[in-house]
Amino acid sequence: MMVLKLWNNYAGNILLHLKTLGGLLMKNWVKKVAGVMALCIFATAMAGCAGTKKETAVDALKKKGKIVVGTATGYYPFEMADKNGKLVGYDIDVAKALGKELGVEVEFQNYAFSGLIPALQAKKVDVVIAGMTITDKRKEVVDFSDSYFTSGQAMLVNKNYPNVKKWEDLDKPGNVIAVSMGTTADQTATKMFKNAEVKKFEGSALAGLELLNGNAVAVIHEVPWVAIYNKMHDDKTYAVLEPFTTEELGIAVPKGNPELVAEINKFVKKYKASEDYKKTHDYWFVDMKWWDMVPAKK
Amino acid sequence: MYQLDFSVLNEYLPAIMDGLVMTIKISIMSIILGSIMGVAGALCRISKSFVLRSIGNVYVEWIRNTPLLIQILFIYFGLGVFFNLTPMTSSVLALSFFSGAYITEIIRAGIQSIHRGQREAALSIGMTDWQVMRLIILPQAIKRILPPLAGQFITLIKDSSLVSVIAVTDLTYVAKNIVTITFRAFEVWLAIAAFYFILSFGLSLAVRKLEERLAESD
Repeated sequence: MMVLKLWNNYAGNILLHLKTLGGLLMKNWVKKVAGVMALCIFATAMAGCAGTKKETAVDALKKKGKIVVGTATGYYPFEMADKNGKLVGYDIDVAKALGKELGVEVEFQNYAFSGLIPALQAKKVDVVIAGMTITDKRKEVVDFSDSYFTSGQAMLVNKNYPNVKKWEDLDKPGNVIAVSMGTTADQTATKMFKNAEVKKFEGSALAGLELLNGNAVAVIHEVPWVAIYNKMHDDKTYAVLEPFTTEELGIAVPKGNPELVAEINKFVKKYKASEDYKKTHDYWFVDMKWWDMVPAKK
Repeated sequence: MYQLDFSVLNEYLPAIMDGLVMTIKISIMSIILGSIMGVAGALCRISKSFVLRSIGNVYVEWIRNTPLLIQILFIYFGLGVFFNLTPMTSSVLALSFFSGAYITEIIRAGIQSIHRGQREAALSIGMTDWQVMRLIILPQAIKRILPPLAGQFITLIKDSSLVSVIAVTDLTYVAKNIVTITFRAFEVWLAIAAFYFILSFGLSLAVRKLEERLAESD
């Protein structure tokens, strides 16, 4: 009885306060804005707290039964969309081999390249396999596996701008160099080119389009992409394939998961020595038997 | 755990300011050009000529039923195959055509909302069509047009962020660049949102003041 009376008292009180609060919120939009902002900060704090894990990342993956791989299509021949829109490419095969090794299914999620590391930080994907170069700046925010591929930057040049032999030939005022935002090509070009203008696009496809339309004199990107894009558009472009940087590509993992990195390194070592590796490497880079599967850009 | 670090904003403040100036430039040019297209479009849509009415209708329906992003990409990369369009030109054209269609509808609705009796009375005392429009209809219509028009301008400022995909160095492009260099997605995007808020809200306050001054004549 007593409890009921107390409860009624408190409930009534609470309801009255809620009504007043509601009334205030209805009337004063400033409080609404403050409320939403407080909610955002609260949610962020909560998300931060969720970082403490009792089980390792590898166990979590095996329990989930699948690994979510972040990638960015458009980087020939590492990740591309075939004529049916399905993801194919060297990285795709590497990811599938990794999934088989860990005993989990592989799910791919496509992002703009510049959004891959934020996606990893926000735990939207478990790993990133996207022809991503291992750099010190990136190592500050994510962890990398050992290198699974060695590459370098090359130049794809507009035919209207002949006789380019080295990147210095491009560095003249008035020249536009197109790159894919967030890539090492972006960072290299921004650092190197003092006179030419560097324009950054979401994805190498748009950078290439800029070149084809005659608005850029060159695209800087890694050797495989330059070679293939040149082949697709050899009427408008020519390639200078001698790499002027060396890049080690790695698989990116959120920080704080050393067991996952170790596991992936085991896989990389095993994979590079396997038969599968030679077969896959030749298919994508040497014979290029996939050429007709992928829509030509002409 | 992710440690918040807002100092990157300090470091990149000059670049952010440049981006802000570019956004303001593009927005102002598009607002002006869009308004001109809007007035022309509205006059087409209420004109007696079938040809003009059709042009107005096609313009409005085409723009309103395609996404702005597609329009921007079409003008820069699509038409760019045939004409030499700079990113700046393409952005302003795309944003002007886009807002022009919506402004057309806003102006047309404002004009048509003025009671027919006004026009009939004016005509009956001997005014010409043009005098009726200029002296009777438009002054009254402006008060009805202003609130949704302001809303459209605010939308334009926010929509201008899309031109970052054709490498126009506006506020959003600068932000994307900073995020890819520093990886501080939370701090940077929060700050950029705040800048857009200041721009849009500032405009909204200015228009509210204007409305109050016009309402004095009521």
